[in-house]
Amino acid sequence: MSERIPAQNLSFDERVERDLNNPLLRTNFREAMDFLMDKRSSRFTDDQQLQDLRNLGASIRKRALSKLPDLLEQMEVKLRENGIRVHWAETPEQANQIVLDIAQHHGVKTMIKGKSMVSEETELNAFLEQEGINPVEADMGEYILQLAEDKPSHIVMPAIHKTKEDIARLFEKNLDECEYTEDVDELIQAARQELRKVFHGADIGLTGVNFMVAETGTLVLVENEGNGRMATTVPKVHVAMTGIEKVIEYLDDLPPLLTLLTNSATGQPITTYVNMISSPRKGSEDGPEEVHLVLLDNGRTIPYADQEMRQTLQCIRCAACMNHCPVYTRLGGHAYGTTYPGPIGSILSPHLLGLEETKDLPSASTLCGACSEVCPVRIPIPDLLRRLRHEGIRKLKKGEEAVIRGHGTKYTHTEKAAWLSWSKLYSSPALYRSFALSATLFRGLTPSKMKGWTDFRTSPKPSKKSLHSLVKQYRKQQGGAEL
Amino acid sequence: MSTGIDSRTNILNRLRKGLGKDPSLSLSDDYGQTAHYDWDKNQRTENFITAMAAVKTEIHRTTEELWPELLVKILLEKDINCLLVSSKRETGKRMATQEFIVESGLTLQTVPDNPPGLKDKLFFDIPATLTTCRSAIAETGSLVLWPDEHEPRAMSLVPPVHFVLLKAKDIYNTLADVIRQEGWAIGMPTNALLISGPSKTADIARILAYGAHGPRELIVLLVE
Amino acid sequence: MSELFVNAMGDNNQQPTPSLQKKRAYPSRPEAVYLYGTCLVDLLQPEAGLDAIKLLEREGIRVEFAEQQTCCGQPAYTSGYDDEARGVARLQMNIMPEDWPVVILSGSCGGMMHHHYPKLFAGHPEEKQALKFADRVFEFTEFLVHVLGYQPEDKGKPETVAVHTSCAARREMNVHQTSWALIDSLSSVTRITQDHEFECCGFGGSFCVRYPDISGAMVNDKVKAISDTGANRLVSADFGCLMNINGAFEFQEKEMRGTHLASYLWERIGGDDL
Repeated sequence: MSERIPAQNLSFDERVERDLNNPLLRTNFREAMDFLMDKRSSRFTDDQQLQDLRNLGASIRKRALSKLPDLLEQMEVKLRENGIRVHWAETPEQANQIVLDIAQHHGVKTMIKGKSMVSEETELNAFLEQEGINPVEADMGEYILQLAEDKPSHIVMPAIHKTKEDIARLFEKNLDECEYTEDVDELIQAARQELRKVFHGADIGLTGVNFMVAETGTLVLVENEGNGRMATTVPKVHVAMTGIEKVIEYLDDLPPLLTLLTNSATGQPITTYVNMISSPRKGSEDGPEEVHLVLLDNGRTIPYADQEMRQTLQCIRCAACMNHCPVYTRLGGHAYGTTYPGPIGSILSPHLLGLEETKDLPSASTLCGACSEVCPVRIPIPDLLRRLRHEGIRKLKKGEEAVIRGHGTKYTHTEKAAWLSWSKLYSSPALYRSFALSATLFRGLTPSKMKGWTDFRTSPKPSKKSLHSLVKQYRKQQGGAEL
Repeated sequence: MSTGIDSRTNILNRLRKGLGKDPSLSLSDDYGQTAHYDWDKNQRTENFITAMAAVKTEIHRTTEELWPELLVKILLEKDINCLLVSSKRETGKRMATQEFIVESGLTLQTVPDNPPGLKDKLFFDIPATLTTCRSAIAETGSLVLWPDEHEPRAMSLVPPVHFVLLKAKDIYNTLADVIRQEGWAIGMPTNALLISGPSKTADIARILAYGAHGPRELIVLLVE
Repeated sequence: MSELFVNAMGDNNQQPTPSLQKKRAYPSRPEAVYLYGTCLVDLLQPEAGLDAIKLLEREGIRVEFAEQQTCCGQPAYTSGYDDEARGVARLQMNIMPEDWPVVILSGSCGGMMHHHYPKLFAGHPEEKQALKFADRVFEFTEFLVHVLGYQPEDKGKPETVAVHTSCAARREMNVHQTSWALIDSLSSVTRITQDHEFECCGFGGSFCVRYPDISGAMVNDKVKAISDTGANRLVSADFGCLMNINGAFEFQEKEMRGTHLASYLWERIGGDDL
């Protein structure tokens, strides 16, 4: 329900067709992804160092997940001691309701938002608007998308699909005193001025969270613009919203993950701001009087129950997997139809939404492994894609508990039968020999049209003789050498 | 929010059930490592400067004695005529005693006792601030600030120009070193902050622009 | 000025200088090996298999071609049909029982056997067998370089070559480097790097028929990148990718056809002239 892009009732194939045939989008994404890949690789020049760091990153995330319920409780105690209020939400609806209750309690009409993918996941903005509260996105990319009534196409650079001409027109139309300009500095300053007014007047700020530290009860926010700092400094109430998996055990676990996150995401040694929040304002400090943390499950407990799929939750949302994905590069983010696109989205969304809603995502990959090669916390994405394919075509055994919603949703008798025959053929040398013989003998009968394949390629034609026959013949020539 | 408690129980129960008898990992199960640096004091300083300069931070090397004078010179060059400082900090105390400030035409403002009341001033009037910092990090080129009532958070965020006074002796190699050597885990402040350059964004067509929401300029007075 | 977003450094097309890293242990030179042809080579490019056998024999290795071999099982495995894959995989393990290396003419099928068999059989009776078997599996170029220390004697005319390495060869087997090393050791051949050489060609097994348009976009880009190098030849040690790329070349009525690296080596050393 949530997560899906509204006003988009197209199927995956239809979205793919739409976006693949958009040459501007294709060029935009290719250039942007090349750029981000280059930025990353320019920062990781020593491979051994990188591998050591990735090992540590994976260890830290695995360790945290191995005691997640304990850490969440420990963190909650710490946060409460520090004065931060903790809320738990099983569903997007609950999370949105919690945010609304807080806002209404303070009689708030406008909410200024820092970047939060979880609030995209819960479709918080649409919900708040219905309830008469005006959410204003302050991350420049998210602000652009809000004006354009559009959705993020990338989790780190949400408006990456917009050209500066698009944005110039958008600002001209929507911002007071902003004339058409393609000067990016001027555009940013225009947005800054507009958003400053909102920051100055806002009574509530909402942000995401990059890491939560159980040991100290600290929320860590990473950003370049300062929208997160503004939203957590100026309004008198700060609501942070995040998934239950984002917790780490120790403060010492933070530096390696920060290094991995910023270098993998944008090739930065660190972002402009690392904002660590451990309590509401004390005494006559500035900052919010109240800090709330909303912890969202929304299906995360499902992959958690399976040791292999639990690795999905190691993710630190750097987006390196999508930057390096040849499929994402050609489609962009919208074709996926989910909040989290690209490889991480293809292994996460099936848990959040169920396999029925997302059945194309695990299969729309060549399993090329570019994603797992760069993943800073070593999530074996191709293995998990394959596992999801397996769960998608598998019928549960009697009494077996489902490891995912929509189990077996791709099962068809025809396909199952086809693979069974395939397996029979290839597990039987005799059957295979006669198959190979007829394939090579009747090579002239190979269909010249094969669905999909021949739109771009000629059909492959079997050779006159199989390797099996060639070897036999060769051995004979050699003088009957033993096979 | 009656669902809150139920949700909490449900989520934790699901997690515990999902975890089953899977082993809990401890620090000794960690493998891998971060980069290690054997920098001496000079290398540390040089690396810090290089890293900060790479993110468009202005760095001025100076001394205990000369920094106030240098600061005024930079302010005049930048046509800035008003500076906010904390009278409770070395920055404010030193600047208050500088006689030449009056001649220079510079107005020195100090943080009032009730910082929340400072908001309008910071949003609309103050062109520049000067704060201290707690330490700095050479690896990433970062300043470490723990804002408080004397130097509130907004001081390093809202006005367009932010000056920071940093002592070279306070530069560490890495964030991990800062956290360990300063014992952060024992007690975190309300807000701990790393600042690495002026505010920026590349959200429009990947073209970098400064002064997105925070200061457009970050200027470090490095006291050696 | 800024390290950050401006001035992207580096160049996607640049390859690091191959520094032959060994990421696994290699046996000393064996007397005999099994040659595993793969199902695609068997039916579509059998000459590559024969050339590989001849080349290995010329290096003094006895080559056993297990006649009962069929397919590594990867198509079923990547589609999620584990039981069906296991049935096929079990046969391959059983028909090559001697403790000899299994030399395989594809990084992708090699990845299946070396990397995925142990996972496929985890918790099954064949678990130990799969582990031992996986350890004996070597991709063809990997075997030539790391086990035989093979140095081809180039007798061909000067030419330029573009190389395509499959994703599994690169990322599961780490054998893109051995393909390069072999090409680079040919004295009259110059290897030319292509744009986005590290990127998948779009084959992906059933992916290319399930999502033909995405796959088509990928292979078109690949074909363009290869053509743009102006190289005389295309060489790859993976026939799956070659079938995809060659089919697209032919569809676009271009002359270029990729050659399997085994055949290319055999040709360069003048194998048939001896």
